[in-house]
Amino acid sequence: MTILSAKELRTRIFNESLDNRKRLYITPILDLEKQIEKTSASIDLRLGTEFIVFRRTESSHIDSFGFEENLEPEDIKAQFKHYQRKIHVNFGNNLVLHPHQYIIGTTFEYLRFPLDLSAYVIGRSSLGRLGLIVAMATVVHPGYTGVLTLELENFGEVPITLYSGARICQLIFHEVKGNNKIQYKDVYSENKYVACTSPAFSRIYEDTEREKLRIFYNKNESTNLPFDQFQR
Amino acid sequence: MDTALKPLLSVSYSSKGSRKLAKLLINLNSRIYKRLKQIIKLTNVSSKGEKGTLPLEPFQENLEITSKRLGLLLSILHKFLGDVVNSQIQYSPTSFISCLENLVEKYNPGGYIIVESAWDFNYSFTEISQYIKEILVYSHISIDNDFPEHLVSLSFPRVEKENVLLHCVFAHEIGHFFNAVNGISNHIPIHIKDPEILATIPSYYSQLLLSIQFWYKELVSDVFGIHLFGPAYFCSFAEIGLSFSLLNEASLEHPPALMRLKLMMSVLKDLGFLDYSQDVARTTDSVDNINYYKFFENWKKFLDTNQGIPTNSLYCLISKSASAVHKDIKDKVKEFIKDNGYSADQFKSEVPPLIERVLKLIPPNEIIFKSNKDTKIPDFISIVNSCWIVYSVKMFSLHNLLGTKTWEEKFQVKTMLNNLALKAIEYNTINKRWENKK
Repeated sequence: MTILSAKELRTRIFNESLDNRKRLYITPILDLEKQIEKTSASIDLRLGTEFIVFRRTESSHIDSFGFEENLEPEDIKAQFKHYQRKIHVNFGNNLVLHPHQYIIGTTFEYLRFPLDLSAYVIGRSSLGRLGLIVAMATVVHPGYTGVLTLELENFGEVPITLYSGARICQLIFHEVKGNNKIQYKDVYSENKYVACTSPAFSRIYEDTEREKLRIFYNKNESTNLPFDQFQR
Repeated sequence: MDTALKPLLSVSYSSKGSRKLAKLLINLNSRIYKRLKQIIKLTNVSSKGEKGTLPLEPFQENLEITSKRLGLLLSILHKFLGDVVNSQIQYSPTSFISCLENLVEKYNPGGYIIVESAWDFNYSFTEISQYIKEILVYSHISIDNDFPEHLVSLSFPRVEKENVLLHCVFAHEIGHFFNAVNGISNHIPIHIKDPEILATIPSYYSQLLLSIQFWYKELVSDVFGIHLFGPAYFCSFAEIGLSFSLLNEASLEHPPALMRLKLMMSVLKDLGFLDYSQDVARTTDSVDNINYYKFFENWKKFLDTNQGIPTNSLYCLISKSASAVHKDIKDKVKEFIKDNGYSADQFKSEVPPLIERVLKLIPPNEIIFKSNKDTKIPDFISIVNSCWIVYSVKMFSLHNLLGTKTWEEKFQVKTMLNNLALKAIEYNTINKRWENKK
């Protein structure tokens, strides 16, 4: 696996004559020298201005596929929105993440990945030492277009103040082989989250396997069968 | 009541004007409260037969009228409190409003706007400071030194909060603001044939004069709209104006859309937005060949084939007077704007690379130069123009890229375009402030 150096990353971003399939767009890069340090092999990204927070007192739980109440995708979507809400924090302002609190944020930067690069999102160690865990869905696929969703959780013992606009995570890029025939059109038609500019609510109800799983679902069956009984 | 209003100061608003108005209303509220207490005290004293022992203040001379005026002031205070509450950031496209504020600041330093999101489907303009000032004077309450000279409320439909393309109609409302401050429409001559005869029917004549002035204000604001936003204002007006009224439909306050669009078209032409040999929307994308100039040519043909003289006799007279002064209106606005408006040259140089970005689903917030690794932050007006041009002549490319087929999916692409525009404006604002700090 080849990891791209800072020099190669800069070429991918700024070389206008590069083929559209190979060009990496990251916008805006407010401080190039800080965000792509010459000796590094990664790009630092900043925390965005919009977040999804959870309203714990509004629902008992989230039924991700909606089988329990026999819900349609539109109803599940409404339920998700009821359980979560979006908040805006002005650039440079802060929000407090309490111990074991979980919120969804995004990177401040908007990205369009080339079709031959993929990346991993890793939290900054300076914040990790305070107890912050960033991004659990860490792989970004070729052709991804939009802001990156960050799943933020405070695993520490004391509240942490997060500042919108501060560097929060880093991306490590590597090449993907054998993608020559894929077009952006193909990527967009397969993806649920295209050109997101703010954190998006989950669209798990659009999973095609949902309908197949529904056939197996039986409301009256105990889901907690003892393992030994199950084996017999 | 004082403590009830104080939390208004700890809320985030979309513009500086909202905080200014909140402070003003809190101050006003405490003064009304104080004055009402004085009135109650005086009423108690007078009932004991001790009236007249002390020299009277102006407000004491007629307590009944003063208390009624204070009541009126209280009801206005409640109305404006509603405006403040509705201008919180969660109800507004904050970054867009911040750009509007800068625009107002550029032409009218010291002017404040508050942008309220309302449930009715309308964009409107209300002068606040002059209104409050007049009532304060009549209620015998002194005016503070820091009372804002020009504070206006602009409203937009809340359901369209993120429809940045439509919000270009604000250019017209800002035009109203500039007109109100500088009295531009008051200097436009009124042309009425046989005014002496009409003057013999006083109610008809006064309505005629009033409506002519209303129409002038609208036309002046439209010309401002083009100077400030270029083709984006034309497109947004056409979108909203023709969704709710017929091309030839007029009212006592508003000229018909046909007259307005024709005037805007001629201003676009005068300013050089329609005379390029090269298509501003030409991109490396070969999917469609719809031409930006063809788009406006079609519009021109459409407007020219509709003559649209109102049949109502009153509208006919207003229309004749308004049509006779198009040149005066254009000259007066030009005199005010000078060369500081959004120029065709800027449009020509900044918009094409931004369109390229939108067609790749990237926010059109910066231009990267081939020669060096430098980037340019474009004017926010170029951002909205690039998105309008994509929406007007390039949507087919986006539908093709995203594989959209149904109307619902196509509507989602429009939402996506609006989101990209809004994101680009947010980046634009932050980037400029970041650069200034350097």
